[in-house]
Amino acid sequence: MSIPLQFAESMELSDKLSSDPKLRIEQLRKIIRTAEARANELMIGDITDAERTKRRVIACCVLAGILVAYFFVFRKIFRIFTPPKSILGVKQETWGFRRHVWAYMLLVPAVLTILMWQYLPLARGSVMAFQDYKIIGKSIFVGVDNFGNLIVDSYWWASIWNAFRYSMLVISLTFLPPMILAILLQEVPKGKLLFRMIYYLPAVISGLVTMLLWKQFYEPSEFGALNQIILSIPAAGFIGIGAILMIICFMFARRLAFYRLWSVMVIFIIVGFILFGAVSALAFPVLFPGHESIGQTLSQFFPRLIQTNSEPYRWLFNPNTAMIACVIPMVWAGMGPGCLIYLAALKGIPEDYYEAADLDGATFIDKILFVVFPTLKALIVINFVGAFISSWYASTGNILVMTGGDAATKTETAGLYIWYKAFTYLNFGPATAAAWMLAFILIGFTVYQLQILSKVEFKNAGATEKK
Amino acid sequence: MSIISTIGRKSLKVRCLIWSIYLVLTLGALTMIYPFWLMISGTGKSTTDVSELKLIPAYLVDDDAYYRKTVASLFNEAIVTAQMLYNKPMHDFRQLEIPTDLKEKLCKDWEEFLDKRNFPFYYYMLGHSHATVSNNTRPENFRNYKDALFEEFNGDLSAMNDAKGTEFATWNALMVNEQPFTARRTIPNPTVKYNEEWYMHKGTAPKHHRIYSNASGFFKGSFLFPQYSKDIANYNKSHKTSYKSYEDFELTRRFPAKGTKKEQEDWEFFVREILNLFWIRVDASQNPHFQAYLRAKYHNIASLNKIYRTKYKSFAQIKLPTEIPAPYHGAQISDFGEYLKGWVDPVDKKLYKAPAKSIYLCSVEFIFRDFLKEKYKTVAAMNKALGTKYTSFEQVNIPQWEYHYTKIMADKSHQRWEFMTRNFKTVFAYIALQGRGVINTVIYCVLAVLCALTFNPLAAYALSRFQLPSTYKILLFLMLTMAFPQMVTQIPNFLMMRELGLLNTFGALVLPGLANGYSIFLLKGFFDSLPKELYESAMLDGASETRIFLQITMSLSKPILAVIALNAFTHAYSNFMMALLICQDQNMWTLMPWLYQLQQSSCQAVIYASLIIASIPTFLIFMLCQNVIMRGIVVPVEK
Repeated sequence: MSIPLQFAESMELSDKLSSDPKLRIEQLRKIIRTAEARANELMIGDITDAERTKRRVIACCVLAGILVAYFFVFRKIFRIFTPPKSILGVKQETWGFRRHVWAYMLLVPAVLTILMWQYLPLARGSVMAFQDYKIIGKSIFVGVDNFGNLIVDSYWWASIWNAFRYSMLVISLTFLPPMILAILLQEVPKGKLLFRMIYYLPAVISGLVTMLLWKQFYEPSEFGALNQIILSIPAAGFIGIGAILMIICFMFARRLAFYRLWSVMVIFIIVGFILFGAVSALAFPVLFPGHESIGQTLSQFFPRLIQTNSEPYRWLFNPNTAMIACVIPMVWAGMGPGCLIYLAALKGIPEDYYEAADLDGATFIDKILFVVFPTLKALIVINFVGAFISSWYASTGNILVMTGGDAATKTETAGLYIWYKAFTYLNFGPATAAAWMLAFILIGFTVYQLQILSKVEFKNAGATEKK
Repeated sequence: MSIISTIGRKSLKVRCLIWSIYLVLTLGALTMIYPFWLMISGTGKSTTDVSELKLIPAYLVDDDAYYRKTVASLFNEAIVTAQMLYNKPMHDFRQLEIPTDLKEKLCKDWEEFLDKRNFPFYYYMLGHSHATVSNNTRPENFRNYKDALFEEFNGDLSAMNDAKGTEFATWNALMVNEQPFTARRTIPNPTVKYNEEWYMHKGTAPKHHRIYSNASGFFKGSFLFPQYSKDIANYNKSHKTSYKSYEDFELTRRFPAKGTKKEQEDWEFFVREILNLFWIRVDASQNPHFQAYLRAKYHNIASLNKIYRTKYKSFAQIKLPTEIPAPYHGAQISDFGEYLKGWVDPVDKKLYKAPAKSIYLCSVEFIFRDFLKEKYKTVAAMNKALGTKYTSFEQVNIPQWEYHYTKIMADKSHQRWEFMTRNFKTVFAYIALQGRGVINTVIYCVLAVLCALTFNPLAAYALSRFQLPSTYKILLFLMLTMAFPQMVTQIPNFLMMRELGLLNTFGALVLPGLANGYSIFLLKGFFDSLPKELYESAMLDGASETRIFLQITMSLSKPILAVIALNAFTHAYSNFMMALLICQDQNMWTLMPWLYQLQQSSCQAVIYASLIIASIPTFLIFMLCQNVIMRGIVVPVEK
């Protein structure tokens, strides 16, 4: 019910609603009609026979695709994990139960647990995808209809797109900070312990609470904690911060140019510009108010640099900021715990590497680029893939608390779509079908993850550290 | 071992680099601490400063803010009551004036007067006894009352409910609703033993927490302001008077014979209909009239005695009440009320109504004026002794406002400490009274940690030590579920628990997480990296497999096991949704669901306090085990 209202509110706030009463009513009607059609489809699910057949055919194709994909994936994973054949060509035992009774006994609890609490529910859950599942009463098989309906549901694809946006934001914002923090912490001669403790602070409150806390900071009035800070920084401040970030990127680019790594250099330059643009965008409402000529804007440019923005941000209600507002708390809370593993890894880099680099006249940036990164590559890749996959699956709770994931703020991600289907509309069948579809989209990354995992071994890097 | 080389550290460039790193880290640290700091300073907030975002709460440094906050708490956060009992127009505690003239001598007289008279409980309201706006904040006087009850019944709630005639579901549900007995409809109800206990408790609370009801303030605050607004011009217009402000006149003790017609009407209506009977008396000269009224109503003394439960011999024995006796309600008292309002005999249509001129008021301010009159005899003598400039005793108002100000200012450290800690005390009491909450949490966390430290290492050991020919197959089996969407398994998982009858057991919380493919994979990798020579020498020395496992593998992997244990603990401790979903029986609730429930109905300050308390265990463990954790982190390296 509140979705059309929110749409109308956000349109009004962005001056999209016409001031002509007739047009205005027409616009509002359109919003309500869209919402009505959506509600009808969700609740009643009425569609024509021709449409139904069409959907079934598409669904069958997609399902076949999923099956084939999973088949190849499993073959691939199986190969990855199979150790190379013994060189001597001796026929190896396949199981060796008799010889290793005790070992197998030790494995029984773990295997049983995973079989019972992961495989069994998975199987049951998969059956649900083909059912019109009822909690009470008999569930009926509906074949591939759940998949068919999903494929033509524009909201589902919109939610996939939102999930993609969310994932990109999470990766770009939460992946690098822990690494940078670890490098900085490593460099500090004194106070390492204190800083580490401070940065770990947010991790002591659970995830849900972090979100609730930040929701209060995001209060859309000028009394909100975050608005108070943002509104007290003059335009020049944002441009300055943006410029510093850009310069740091350019410094890296310069060193890369020195080593003729052109493609990486170009990436750094682009990232620099993006950072500058993103940070200084906060100053734009002050510098370019919009409703005036270019001459006026230019003549006012310098005096405006020291002015502050007076319009409070509606963080969670504005579609432009809502998604990023959902991610910022994750950056805040994830930095400290995330940096621990990098810190451990950094400690594991032998001193000789740095010494050798020093002898070659390497700068600080050189050492980060050519000593730290290559050594930590395995860790970085594993973390990256892990973060990427979990950003698709684990978006539910955060966004649910923050915005409720409504369509007006464009924050309904695929995870949330499934959650709503399952727990609000109690459509477990379609929800499970959607979950399988999402997994299908991500299957390539999962395989890649397993592939890397099979190639690395885990070392306790900190164990060698002398206290 | 740092990127910046140890040579050349003193050069300007390197120094700048190090200092800028410090700067960035400090800025970052500030953004980490700021929200926490806000949370901590937010734990003391109440209605006056809830929207404030100061790092150091104003009530700690600013006396005015402290005073206003304390007054808000004193009046149990009810602004209307404050307006009424202070006899002052105000909209908000934040706008409350600070007294400039403290009237110290008058206050001393006031204190002396109160000590001498020792008024019963219904003369005053006890402050700091509940919070109308800040939900779930439990001020000190209420906490003391609850603790006293808890001690009296040794924590047995049902015994308390039986004895005190209440039906509280938990100790945390206990509450009082303290209000001044100014309006006629608000009357104390001592027939409920719980209330009676509270009325008795009121007497034991600090005396400066009492706020005395007075008819004058009630007259203005609840009668004049709502009718004629706080603007004196409106009042003058409708009453044909010419006051400069509301402070120019007070409610008179007797019918204002000299006032304008509208003023007289107001006085009569207010006294006859609205003011509580506690504060109204009728001259003894009206006794015959009153007796005639009762005779007309009851006809004979027997029926009156039956209803009154008295033993009067004749109507002539009945006198107009000189005080309202306990239990403060009943026929006797309502008859008096009707006599004030006017009662029409249904038979002969005769009106019995106390004559306006015979009614007089006896609330605290009038008794106080009598006291002053008795003490100083003349106004001049009083002015001389007190250094005031009154022209008559009627101008003297009770100096409650000034008296409270002095007392509040003298009580600064205690009251500030109370503000800072009271919500923490509330949350601690809440946790302590939720019976099994703490025990459940401990059991769950210990079980979770133990399970994480047994099954995963055992499986990993089996895979690593014995070089099973099928190792990769088993590992694959254990890890393959990573490729499937977790959301698919959630609902069937719940259904399975229900079918197995595991709901509301620790089993449901612990069993599904007993083994984890990824952890086994990690541990196996780590065990593989332990030196093989150790095993060989141990076997040569004839050590048993159990001994090898415990003394070599496990003891060499202490740090990594510590990390696993910590993760298991954190997960179990903060596991809230599952705990709530699987264990819907409140006896099985861990701390998190309880705190969540507390937060649902609480104000911001209590929520913050509960969050801080909830995060203490995790933080302590991290702080104490920091070094072990750092050593236990495993890092992937390419083979």
